Amino acid sequence: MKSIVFGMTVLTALAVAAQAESATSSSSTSSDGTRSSVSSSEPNNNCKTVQLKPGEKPPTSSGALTSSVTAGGGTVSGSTTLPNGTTQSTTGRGATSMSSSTSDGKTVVTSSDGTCTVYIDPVSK
Amino acid sequence: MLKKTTLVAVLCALPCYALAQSASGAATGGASVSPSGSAATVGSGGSAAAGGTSASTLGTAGTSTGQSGTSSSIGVGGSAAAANGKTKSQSKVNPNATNAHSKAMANEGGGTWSKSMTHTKNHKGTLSSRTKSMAHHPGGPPVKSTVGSSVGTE
Repeated sequence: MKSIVFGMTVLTALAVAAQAESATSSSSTSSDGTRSSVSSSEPNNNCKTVQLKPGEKPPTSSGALTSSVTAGGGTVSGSTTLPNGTTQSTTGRGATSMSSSTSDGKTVVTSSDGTCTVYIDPVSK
Repeated sequence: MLKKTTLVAVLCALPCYALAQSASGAATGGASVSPSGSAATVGSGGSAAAGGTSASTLGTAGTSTGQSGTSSSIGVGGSAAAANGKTKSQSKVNPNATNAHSKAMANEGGGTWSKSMTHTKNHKGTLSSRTKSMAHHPGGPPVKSTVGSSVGTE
């Protein structure tokens, strides 16, 4: 009986059809009317760890993690704003932000100034 | 014997799905200004995966202004995969190359799915890109990531 069951499992696995698809689109324009066409992140190992209290949510669960860059008057300034309103700024360069959430309760947030925080949900841990 | 074999199969399957979802995203932007002109670029992207599904999208845009005029570019893309399920991905840039959307989703049924969406635009020289990614597997709340970036030159 065991060999029959295993045999059925193999047959089922073989019968599953893999499906995948992808799509891309790009376009560019220039003032002379010509058209042509034309895309990064860095890991950070120095993350601060925050143990969330029961019921507490990581900042990214309540909204967007946004970066903004402004250039003018010969200067460039960048900042990252967390959904809780906290802003981290940089000057002289651009801005980046990253977030990552997994079902083991860990949420990683990286901001423009290089600050990296790992939020750990005690319930999901 | 059949019952015992089935039970073993179920017990082995459960731990495999316990940590089976993730969502992540990244956004970036940069700009420069000089007497000869200005330039800016922005981009965001995200990925989500749950069970046997995955979905990713990204978008980028750039613009440069100089004495001879302005040149701009915009692009988005996405992909979705499901070993045993349905997938759909769609990317579109408007004819003026100022607005672009990409959406990708994969669903294997039973509440297991992943999806990602990116909206990138160039509004009067201010570039922005926003990506939202989500994944869900039964037994827990969906995980999600929303990132965005905007760049402007004064």
